[in-house]
Amino acid sequence: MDKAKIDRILGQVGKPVRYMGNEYNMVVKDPSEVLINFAFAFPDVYEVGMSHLGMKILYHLINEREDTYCQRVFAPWVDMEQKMRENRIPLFALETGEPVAGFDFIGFTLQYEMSYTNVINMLDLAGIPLMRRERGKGHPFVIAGGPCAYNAEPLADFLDLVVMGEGEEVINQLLDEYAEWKKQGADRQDFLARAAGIKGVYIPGFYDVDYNHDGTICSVKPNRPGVPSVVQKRIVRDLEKAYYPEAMIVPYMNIVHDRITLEVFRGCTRGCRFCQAGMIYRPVRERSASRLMDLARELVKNTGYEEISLSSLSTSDYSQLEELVKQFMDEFQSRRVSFALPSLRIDSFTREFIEEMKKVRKAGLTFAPEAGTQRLRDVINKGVTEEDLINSVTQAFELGWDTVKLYFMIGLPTETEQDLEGIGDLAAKVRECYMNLNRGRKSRRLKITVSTSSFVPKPFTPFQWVAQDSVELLAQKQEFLREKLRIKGVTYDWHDPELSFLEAVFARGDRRLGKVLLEAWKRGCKFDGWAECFNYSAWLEAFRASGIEPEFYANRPRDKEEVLPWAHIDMGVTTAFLRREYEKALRGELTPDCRGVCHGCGINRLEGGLCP
Amino acid sequence: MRMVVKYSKGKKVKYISHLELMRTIHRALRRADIPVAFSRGYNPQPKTAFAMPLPVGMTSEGEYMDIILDSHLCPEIFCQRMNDALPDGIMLLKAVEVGESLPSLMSLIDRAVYLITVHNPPKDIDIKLNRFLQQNEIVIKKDSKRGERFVNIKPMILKADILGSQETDTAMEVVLSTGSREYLNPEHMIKAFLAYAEGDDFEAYFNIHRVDMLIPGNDGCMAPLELGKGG
Repeated sequence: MDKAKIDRILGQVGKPVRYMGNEYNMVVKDPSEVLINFAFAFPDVYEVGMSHLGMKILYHLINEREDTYCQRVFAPWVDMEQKMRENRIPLFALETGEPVAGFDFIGFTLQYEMSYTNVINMLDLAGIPLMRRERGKGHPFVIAGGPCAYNAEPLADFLDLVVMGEGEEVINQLLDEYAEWKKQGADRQDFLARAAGIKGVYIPGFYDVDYNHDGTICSVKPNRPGVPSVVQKRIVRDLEKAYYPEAMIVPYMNIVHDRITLEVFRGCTRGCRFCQAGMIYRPVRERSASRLMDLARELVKNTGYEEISLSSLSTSDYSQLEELVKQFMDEFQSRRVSFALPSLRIDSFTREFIEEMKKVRKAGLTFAPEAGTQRLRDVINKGVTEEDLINSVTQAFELGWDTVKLYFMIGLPTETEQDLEGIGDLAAKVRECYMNLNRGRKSRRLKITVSTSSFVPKPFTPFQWVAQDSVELLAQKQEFLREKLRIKGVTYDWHDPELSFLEAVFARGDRRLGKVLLEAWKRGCKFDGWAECFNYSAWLEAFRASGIEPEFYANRPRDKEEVLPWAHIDMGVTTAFLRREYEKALRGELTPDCRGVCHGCGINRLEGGLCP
Repeated sequence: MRMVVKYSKGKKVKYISHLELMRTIHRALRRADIPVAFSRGYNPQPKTAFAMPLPVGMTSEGEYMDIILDSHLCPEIFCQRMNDALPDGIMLLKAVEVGESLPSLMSLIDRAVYLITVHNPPKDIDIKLNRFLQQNEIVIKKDSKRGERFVNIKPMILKADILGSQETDTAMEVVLSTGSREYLNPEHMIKAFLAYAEGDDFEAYFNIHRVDMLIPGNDGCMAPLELGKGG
């Protein structure tokens, strides 16, 4: 590749450091010396993609292989894309500047439904045929993984392979199989057939979907022998022994999560009914405090980062948390390495904890009651009470915090006006709590931000059958809250309901939506998750042009018997469990944390049972 | 212990900003396990000070920083350990120990030498450069937060020579005011010259390389490393 040509356009775009590579700990190999060239593609900008833990793990893991070079590629921002197209520079990998069209694989991680148009746009920029049917000899295999891959049906026309579940083991099996295949020089279909034999690998082209007259799915069936009728997700058995990089790339630019990330455990036992992550990452598997300390030591030494963050779905549930935090402080405080604890549950928020946090930094605190009333919090199985929230904010205020964020969802199943009023009431109570503590003195410094997102029903959750509120209804609810939250010291933030609507369409979409994605992309849709790029009217045109009604996907309740687009995927937790949970939700019944008692979600069927 | 450190910023890192460069060096300090001193207070920072930020897109072999360590470290070993911990493209060239009471480098440096390579330069570039420099004043428009300003940059161009041409490239050496009192960005200077020579629409592609920064001395100029205790 003409690196000088890339260098020249970099002088003409914003944040050129996004496209430059050459960061500390970047892996350097000679692409012509390896058997397999793998492009790890993140369908968003550099600073978002580089913050993603899965990418860090897989990048270094794949590069441990001598026969493979894994390079990175991100979606070029709009200005860069324009310059690339003007100068006929195809999508290139950051490490070498080589065009990715010549690679063996381009692997997308699907973190968010609204990045799908970026997947298409990146394929186009690379000069790779968009549709899998149009690819042949010499084209890369387009592969995808990540949480949205569990229902990647809207991208089924574009993807050659999809990996279900945790990638650490399956990616090596897949690359081994590929290496064999490449040496033999067999045809493309032959590799896909071999790959279909690996557990967790889904080949969209090997399945046919039939539809009923009413537009629902009749069946999803393999169209050739030797292909599993149900694809089961992969789980890493032993997280303690699982690969974890001891050196991570240190970006020059300030990325979204610019610090060492230590994954303390996978999975979550809380069972919040709206939460897809809580279902798909089961079962809980922890890393020991001593392993984490070893990793922290190596990572500090090898990256020089000034901050470490503990990451998981619910870090306060980590069984060795206190021990770990203490060891961290003992070892790293004097070296001026601070630590961050995201996603704490409000019922776990002890005074000691806040004090530890305060030693390091005094940023704002975020609390997520999720819903405004106890009734609705029980419906979603959030399991926290108003008392928990008040206790936590009281402690925070006592320790000198003035800024808190309260996070809620609107449009949850069974929601009524009372539940919305509850959001306003909670905000008022939090304010009152502050005023009482400070006797009104410092009231000018108090800042409460109430933020609502709109509920998006996700596949593989107990709410996968429910209808999303219409855009109009969500907008009305936001208007109601705007009025309700006219409280001094309180600001209200809300999400664009039109974006939430499209998220809901694609989250539970089927293969017919591929046409819509293509039409939307042709109308210039990309970076849809970025407010400055989101073009709702273009999306509506794309639906019209494809003859597809988006409401069918977002706003329609599904019958219990309906064949869902992901019926052929086994993500571990059973449909029967999800259905039981849904029915309990409607009755407002709680399901307690399963660390105490098993509720039979089904995950323990896999790998001979891995629950602690 | 206080040191003045000279370093280079090469092609591979020319697009990183000053802030990014600082962060990169701070992280390299931790990787290299350098006993750097930290500021006190709410958000302690390594005690480093960087002289005259290099604009994004330029390369340099004459960058300087001031650093204070908690304990003594031989300057050669410091450079060696840092160079093992820095990404490709940033290299410490030399460090010298200086007196603790020395004013900041930022306040001492007053000029910089640049090598500018112009691709597909104007015809008769040497004649045009002479004419450009012989004007009574050279006024450029600067857009700042407070609006447009007009600045006469002529007194800030201390020297400008054509070094020679090779194929389609012409090399120039210029010396410009570069200090906390007066500062001329070399890009503004070269753009003003090219606009003068060929008109506003002339699209030129050029590279700017900072060769060194200088401090006013007893007889002319001196290099910042001459501030060293031994030298």
